[in-house]
Amino acid sequence: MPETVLKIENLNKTLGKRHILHDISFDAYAGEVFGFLGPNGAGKTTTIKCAVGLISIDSGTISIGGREVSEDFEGAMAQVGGIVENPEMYKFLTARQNLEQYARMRDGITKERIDEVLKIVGLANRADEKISKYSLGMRQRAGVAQAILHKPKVLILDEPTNGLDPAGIKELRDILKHLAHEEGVCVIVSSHLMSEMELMCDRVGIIAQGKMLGVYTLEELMNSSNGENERYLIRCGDAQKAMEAIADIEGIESTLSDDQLEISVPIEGAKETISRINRQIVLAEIPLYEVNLLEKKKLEEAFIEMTGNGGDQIG
Amino acid sequence: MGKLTALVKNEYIKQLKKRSTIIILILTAIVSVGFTGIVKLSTLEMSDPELDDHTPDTSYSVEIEDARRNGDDTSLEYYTFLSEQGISTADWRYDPAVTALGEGSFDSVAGYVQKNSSEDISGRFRDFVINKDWKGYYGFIKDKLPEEARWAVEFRLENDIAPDENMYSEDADWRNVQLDQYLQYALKKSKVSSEQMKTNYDDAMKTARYRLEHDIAFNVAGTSMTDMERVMYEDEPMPTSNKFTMWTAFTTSPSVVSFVGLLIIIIAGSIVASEFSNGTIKFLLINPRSRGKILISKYITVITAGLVMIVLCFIVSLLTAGLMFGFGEAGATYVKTTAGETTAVPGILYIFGQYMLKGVYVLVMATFSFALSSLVKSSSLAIGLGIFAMTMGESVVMMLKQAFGIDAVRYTIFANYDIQSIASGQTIFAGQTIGFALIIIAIHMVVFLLTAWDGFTRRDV
Ligand SMILES: Nc1ncnc2c1ncn2[C@@H]1O[C@H](COP(=O)(O)OP(=O)(O)OP(=O)(O)O)[C@@H](O)[C@H]1O
Ligand SMILES: [Mg+2]
Repeated sequence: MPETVLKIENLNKTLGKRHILHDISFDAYAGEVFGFLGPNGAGKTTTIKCAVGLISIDSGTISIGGREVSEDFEGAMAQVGGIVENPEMYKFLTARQNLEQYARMRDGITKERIDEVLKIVGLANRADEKISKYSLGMRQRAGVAQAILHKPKVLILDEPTNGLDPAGIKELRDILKHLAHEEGVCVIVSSHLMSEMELMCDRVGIIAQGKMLGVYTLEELMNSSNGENERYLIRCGDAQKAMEAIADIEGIESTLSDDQLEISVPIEGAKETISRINRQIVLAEIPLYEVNLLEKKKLEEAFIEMTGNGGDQIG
Repeated sequence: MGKLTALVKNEYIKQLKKRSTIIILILTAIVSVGFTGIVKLSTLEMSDPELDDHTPDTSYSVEIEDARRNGDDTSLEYYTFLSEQGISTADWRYDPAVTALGEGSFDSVAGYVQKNSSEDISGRFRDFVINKDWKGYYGFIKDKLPEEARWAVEFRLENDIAPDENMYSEDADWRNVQLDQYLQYALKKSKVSSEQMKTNYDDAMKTARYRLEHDIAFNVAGTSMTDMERVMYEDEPMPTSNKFTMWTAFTTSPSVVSFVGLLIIIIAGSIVASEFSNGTIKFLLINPRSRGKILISKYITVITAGLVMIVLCFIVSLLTAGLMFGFGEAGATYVKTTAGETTAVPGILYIFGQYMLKGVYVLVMATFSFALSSLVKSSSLAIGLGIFAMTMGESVVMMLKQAFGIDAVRYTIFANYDIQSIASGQTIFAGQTIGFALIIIAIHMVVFLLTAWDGFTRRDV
């Protein structure tokens, strides 16, 4: 059983007259990437702010590495690093000078460590430029450097891919996975994009309208979204003929849409079934262009369904 | 402790990297230089008193000519005597001589002696004058002076201090001015009835006596522009030097500190609020340092920055004053007697003390703006409110007091924060004491700081 390093229990928070967070509870473990998923206005940022002590809480407990934020703030903060909302640093200082600021506020950080994190986030060559000259993505990277500077046990990043280019997103994913899986850090990433979560998270906690809907491993999430079946889309020379060619395979269901064939395959032995479908279409001398798993789209749909927000009003 | 030092270091780095801070420091220096420059210019406007009557007239040719033409024998005899003896108005013999000739004034020393003695002493005076016998003269008048005045005569005789034949000459003995003034004040004191005036004369005598006994040729007290003007145009006892020195500018320079008060509002008003307006507050508070420590480090930064600026003003003013007027009297002492108590400190130290007293005002303004800064999220709002309070507060209090006679405004901070002025008696509130002012200041400071603390440590970011 991995160590629980972030524990949130029955967190409630009211801002102004609005009750924003309702009994939020979840645990995050050392060595995992935990996705914190929810639509706009769900309360992700608010929860994160509570976790790092930026805002007070009405009730509940939050402990980081065994220390409660509201009781031992300094002890808890020594073990957490993070970015909340936009990565805003001192614009009149360089990235390195900014990191030196944070180094003086944390314990035991050497010059070498600063060089190291600058290299990790890929800013080593531009470290002595003022932040005011940085692009949004570069600022995001500097923010990540700030967050991992003191090798925290828990790393909390609020929408860290904001502003990053595709290569940057991939790099960040790799950095975070490395930190979690190789160095045992508990990485918590918030996002409103399911697709992003899939690519890096081990577990996903879903929040909507200030309530936790559940915490799932990635597999659980996929299974739940597909139920018993996986769905494939087949593009070939003649969909009608292909449908006939595979009609004898048991358990599958095929429908014709446009010129394509959509097939639902039972999860049990899906791989064998699909290779059989492949073979039979090819044997029927129908040109086969591609076979696509439709789970991605379905997962996104499942998320929208779960959070009850189909592009509707923000709750 | 180490943590706090590191936080303060952070604040200083941030401040010094901001262009506004550098501009503020440069402005502070420029204003100090400019202030001294203005004093220098105005001394050029005022004629240097030392230059008047440098070689006083001893021929009396005009007066003798007039007397001849008018057939005025008394005047003729009078001026001829002065002319023959070569006695100018700047000569110690002038007083006994004119007294002997029957023109003595009751206000002069010789006149006083003559009017208070039963016998006719004109002959004795005439002899002393002709023989330039100052020892004889002072020995003679000593017992005839009021009790209190005698000390000056004794001191002169004991120390063998010859009076000047030309008190305006370069090699005139500074002690003569002090001894003469001592006598003058003693005589005046014996004549006035107001207790206040008696104390004033007594204080002036004590100061003169202290300087003579401790051989202090130059007194820093009374050298400021306002003091010099007062001495020139009003008949008030004020020990002063009659020449312009670096002290003319330097003793007036503590008022520059008010400007530091204005500038510190900019630093104090933005030090917390700017973290909010720039969004950097989140990265600042996500560190293992409590909000209390962060706030304290910011306050320490504001206060020490104010101190640095005051010291900068002090040093720049000292150097500019020295360069413009010469460093000749830099080592002079400040001697002043108030209500019978004589204090003497090196002039530089005294002025530094004045800067520090003015610094209380800077402290109050800084703390006020700091509290505002911790309450609002916009630095321009905090700075604006701070400057508004600073410029309007005092005027409003003055107006309420003077135009509407509302005395209760004496409890406001604006009536009390300038303790340097209160210490030197420049206040419109009767009986305002330093102690009272300090209590009012302390209460306000506590309120400001608690407000800042509460606002900053509990607020949602
Ligand atoms: N200072 C505030 N006062 C009142 N309500 C607020 C405040 N800040 C946030 N809220 C509300 O709290 C709710 C949750 O906001 P939060 O920023 O936590 O959402 P989020 O999940 O981070 O959304 P996003 O994906 O858009 O970043 C929103 O409905 C928002 O309007
Ligand atoms: Mg958010």
